[in-house]
Amino acid sequence: MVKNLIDNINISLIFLQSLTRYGFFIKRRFLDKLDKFKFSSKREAIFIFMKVLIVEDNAALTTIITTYLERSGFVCEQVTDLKQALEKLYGFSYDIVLLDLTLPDGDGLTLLEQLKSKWSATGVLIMSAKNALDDRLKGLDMGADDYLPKPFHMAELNSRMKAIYRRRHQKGAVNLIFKEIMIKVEAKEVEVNNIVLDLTTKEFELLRYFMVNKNRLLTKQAIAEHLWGDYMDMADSFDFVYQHIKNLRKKIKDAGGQDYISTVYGGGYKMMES
Amino acid sequence: MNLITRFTLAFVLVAAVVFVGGGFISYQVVKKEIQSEEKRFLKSRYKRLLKYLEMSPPANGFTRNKTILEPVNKDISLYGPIFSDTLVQHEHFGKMENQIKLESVVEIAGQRYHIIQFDLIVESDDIIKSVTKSMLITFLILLFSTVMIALFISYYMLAPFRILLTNIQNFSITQKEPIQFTISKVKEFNKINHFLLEMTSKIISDYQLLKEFTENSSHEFQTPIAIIQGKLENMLEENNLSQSQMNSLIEMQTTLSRLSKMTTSLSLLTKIENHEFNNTEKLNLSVILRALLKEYEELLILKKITLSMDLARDIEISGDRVLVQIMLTNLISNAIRHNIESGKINLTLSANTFIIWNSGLPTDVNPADFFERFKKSNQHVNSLGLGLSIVQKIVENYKYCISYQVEDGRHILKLNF
Repeated sequence: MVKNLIDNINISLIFLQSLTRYGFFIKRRFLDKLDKFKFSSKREAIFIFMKVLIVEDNAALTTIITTYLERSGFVCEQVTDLKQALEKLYGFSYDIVLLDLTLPDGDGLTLLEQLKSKWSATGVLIMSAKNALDDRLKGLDMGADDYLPKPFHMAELNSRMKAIYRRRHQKGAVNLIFKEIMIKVEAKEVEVNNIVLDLTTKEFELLRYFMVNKNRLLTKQAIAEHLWGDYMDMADSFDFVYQHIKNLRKKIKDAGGQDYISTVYGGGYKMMES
Repeated sequence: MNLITRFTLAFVLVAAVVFVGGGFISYQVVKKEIQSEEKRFLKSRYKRLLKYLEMSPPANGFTRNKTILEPVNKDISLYGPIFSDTLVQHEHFGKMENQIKLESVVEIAGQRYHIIQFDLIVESDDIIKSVTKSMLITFLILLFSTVMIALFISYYMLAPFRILLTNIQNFSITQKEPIQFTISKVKEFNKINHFLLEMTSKIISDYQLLKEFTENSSHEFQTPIAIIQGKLENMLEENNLSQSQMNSLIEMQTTLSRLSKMTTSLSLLTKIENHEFNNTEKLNLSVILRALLKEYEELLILKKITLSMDLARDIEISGDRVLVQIMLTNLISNAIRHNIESGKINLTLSANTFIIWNSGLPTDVNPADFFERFKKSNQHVNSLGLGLSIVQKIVENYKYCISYQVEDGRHILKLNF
C-alpha cells in the first residue's frame, strides 16, 4: 500500500520532472530560434506571437477573419465594441488591432486616438465599409497603419497585416524566403539562388503577394484587385494577371529557380512547395 | 427693383393720373363757379342800372364805368339780358382783353335802350395756371411723403422681412441648422417665420434621413458582402472541390464584387446629387491629368493603346478635388475600356475645354444615352454602366457642359468648363 503510494509519487515526480525538462527544452529551443532569428542575416518573418485584436461587431465576419488568420499563424481575439476593446487593451498587449469604424457604442476613430496615445507600439488596420475618401484619409492621418475598405479578399488582409507587422516589429528589415526565392522587402529586390531578378514593380508586388499567401489559393480577381485596386476593368485584368504570372514564372526559371506557382484550373493560382 | 420701390412707383403713377384728372375737374368747377359769380355780379349791376334808369331815364346814351347805354328806336325788339364773351380794349393798357358781356334791349318809360355791360373775367389761362400750380405743389408734397414713408417702411417695418430673406438665402441643406428667426411685432411676419422654421426643419430632417439611407445602404451592404466573400474564399481553400463547384464559387465572387462596386457607385451618385462634396478649391487640371495618366501608363501598354495628348499648362478650375479626380478617372478609364485592339486615345486640354477621344467600335446606341444609368453597348457586359452617369452628375454639379459624339470610328467626349 505504502509502496504503491511511493511508487505513484515517484512516477508523478518523474513525470513532472520530465515535463519541466521538456518545458525547458521547448523554452531553450525557442530561445535558440529567437537568437538565430536575431542574428541571422537572412531573417525570415516568423509570426509565433503575433497577437491580433479584432474589433468588429459582426460576429460572422469576425469568425471568417479569425479562421483565415489563424491558419496564417496569427493569434486572434475578438471583441464587438469599444468598451470591450479597451478592457482587452488594458489587460493584454497586441501587435495589431483590426478596427472596424462603425461600432455599436461609437466611432472606431475614437479608439484609434486612444491607441495612438496609450499603445503606440500596436499597429492599427482599419477595415471599414465606409469607402469615403474622407474617412480613409482621416484614419491614416490619425496614425492608422493601413485602411482596408470592405469587402476585401482575405489574402489581401493577410498580406497587409503581415506588412504592418514587418514594418513595426521587424523594422522592415526582414526578408521573405520561400525555398530558393528571397525577397528583400526593404530593397525591393528578389534573389533566386543569389541571382538578382530584374522584375517590374507589378511583378515584384505579385511575387510578394504569393509569398505572403503561400499555400493559399489566390483568385485572379484577388490578384487583380491587389495589383490595380479598383480602377481596372475586370475582364481585362484577368488577361493581365495571366501575362504577369507568365513573365514572373519565366524570370524565376531563367534564374534557375523552380516554378512553385501552380495553376488551379478555373480558380486561380497557388504558390506551394510541389 | 425691390418691392417697396415698385409699390412707391405704382402709387406715384396712380397719384399722377388722379392729380391730372383732379386738376381738370377742379379747373372745370372753379371756372363754372367763377363764371356764375361773374354773371351774378353783372346781373346785379344791370338791376341797379335799370333802377337808376327808371328813376331818371336819360335822354342820351352814355358810356361809363363799363356800361354802354344808348337809346334805340321802337322798331328794335326787346331782348335780353344775354351773356356773351367779348374782346374789350383795356382802359389803361389798350390791350385787348377777354371780358364777359351782358347785352339787352329794355323799354323804360316808353323809351327803348340798348344796354351793354361788361366786366373783366378771370381768364381760363389763369385758372389753369393756378390749378396746375396748386396741384403740382400738392403732388410734390405727396411724392416726398410717399418716398419718406417708403424708406421708413423698408428700413424699419420691413426689417424682419429683409432679415428673413438673407436667412433663406444663407440656408444650406447641408448645414444642420434650420433657419433662425427674430420675433417681429407683425403677425404676418411671425406667421411666415413660423412656417419657414417648420419647413426648413422638415427639409433638414428629410435630407438627413435620405443621407443616412444612402450612407447606410452603401455601408450596410458592404459587411454582408464581406462575409459572403470571406466564406467563399474559405470554401475555395478546400481541396476536394470539383471543377464546376470551383467555377461557381469564382463566378459568385465576381458577381459579388460587381454588386459591391454598384452599391458604391450608386451611393456616390446620390452623394453628388446631394451636394455632399463641397470642399471647393482651385485645382490645376493639367497637373491632375498628368498624375492620373501616370497611373494608367501600364494599362495602356498592356492594351497596346497609343496615347497622344496636347495639354496646355496650368489650366485651373475650381471644384472639389475628389469629384474632379473621379470625373477625369472615369473619362480616361472609359476611353481605355471601350477601346479596340491597338487603339488610340487623344487628350486635348485648353483654356476651357477638355476633349478626349478614343478609337472604338461603332454603336447603334445614341451616344447621348450613354450618360443614362446602366446604359451601355451590349458588347461590354462587364462594365457597370454608371461611369458616365457619375461624370454627368459631376458636370451638372459644376454647371459644366459635356457632349458625346461618334464620328468615323472615334468616340469623342467634349467637356466645356
